Amino acid sequence: MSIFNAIGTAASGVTVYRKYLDAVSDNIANMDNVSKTSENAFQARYVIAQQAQDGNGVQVGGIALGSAEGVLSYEPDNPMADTEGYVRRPDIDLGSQMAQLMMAQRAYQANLSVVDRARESYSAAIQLGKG
Amino acid sequence: MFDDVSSSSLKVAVAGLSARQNAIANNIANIETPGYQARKVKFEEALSGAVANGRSPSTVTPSVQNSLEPSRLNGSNVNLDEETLSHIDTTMRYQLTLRALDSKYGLIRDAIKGA
Amino acid sequence: MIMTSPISAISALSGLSGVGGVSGIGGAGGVGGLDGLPGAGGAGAVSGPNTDFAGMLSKGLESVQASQTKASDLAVQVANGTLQDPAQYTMASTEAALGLQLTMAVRNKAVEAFQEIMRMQA
Repeated sequence: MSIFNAIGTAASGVTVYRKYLDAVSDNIANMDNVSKTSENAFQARYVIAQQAQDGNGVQVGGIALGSAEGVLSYEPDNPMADTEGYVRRPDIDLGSQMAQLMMAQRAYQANLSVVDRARESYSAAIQLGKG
Repeated sequence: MFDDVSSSSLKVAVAGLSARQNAIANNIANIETPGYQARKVKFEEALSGAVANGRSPSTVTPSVQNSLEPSRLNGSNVNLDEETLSHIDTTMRYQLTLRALDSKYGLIRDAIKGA
Repeated sequence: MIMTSPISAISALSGLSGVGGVSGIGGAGGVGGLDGLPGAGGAGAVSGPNTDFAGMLSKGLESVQASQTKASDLAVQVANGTLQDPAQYTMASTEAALGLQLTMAVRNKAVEAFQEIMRMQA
């Protein structure tokens, strides 16, 4: 991917933010998971971006996990409740997940646009000098 | 043969704009990378300086520097709007510069055919 | 007249702005010498441009050789994916091709003009 340097770089951005979007969507989808107190709550996942090693673009540096304890919720009627009537729910706030989603979406789109514009430029370069 | 001032300037511009496009792509890819500093490419001033002082444009090379703008909350100092607009400007200028070079090649091609 | 057309074509080549390169192919003297040919050309005028021209042509071909080498090196980078900007390759390959074509066009016209002169003198 190095000849069309800008496209390769932007492609790395598309990949990373796609993963970010998937992680946030997953967090939202699992917000209402219920777990027993003897297990971990569903942990939110966040992609940590870092500069690509070869200096071109970005890569996933790691995944941050949300709280495993989650939030204890008193729901004695819930089939998964423990002897004292508690269950665990994930410590995920919809508002902040939506903010993350919008941020990741914006970054994803921006990188896609770079690929598009760069492709136009490189096509012009390839045409140079043709009769 | 292609080292007159205008051709030479055009070629420096092509290299500079291409380097700028790479820097912009890198900035946009790292828009949410904590601690990332946006990269900027400069060459226009050096180019006009060289031409004004009678030096050959081919001595000018594009330089890459880190932007000193303050970081945003997430630790990256990339300004997406600025980068996007800059990318649009860069790609249009790149294509225009290539077009200018192409016409120079066309002149020579015509001279060859006419000879 | 037949004599003037190849010569005016060569003058036209060197007269184009941005094609300063024609005079760059070994000095204005070579082409200028041809301009001096119409009509009177005696033996002196024939041998003059002949030796100047050989020098001019070989310098021209050297620079064409250099530009072709540059284009080939960049082509290798294209093939193994290490080239950073495709414009570098397309510029180099266009310039190498045009350089060669121009040099050969100038040479052919000069040879034609020379042959005209030889016919006239015979």
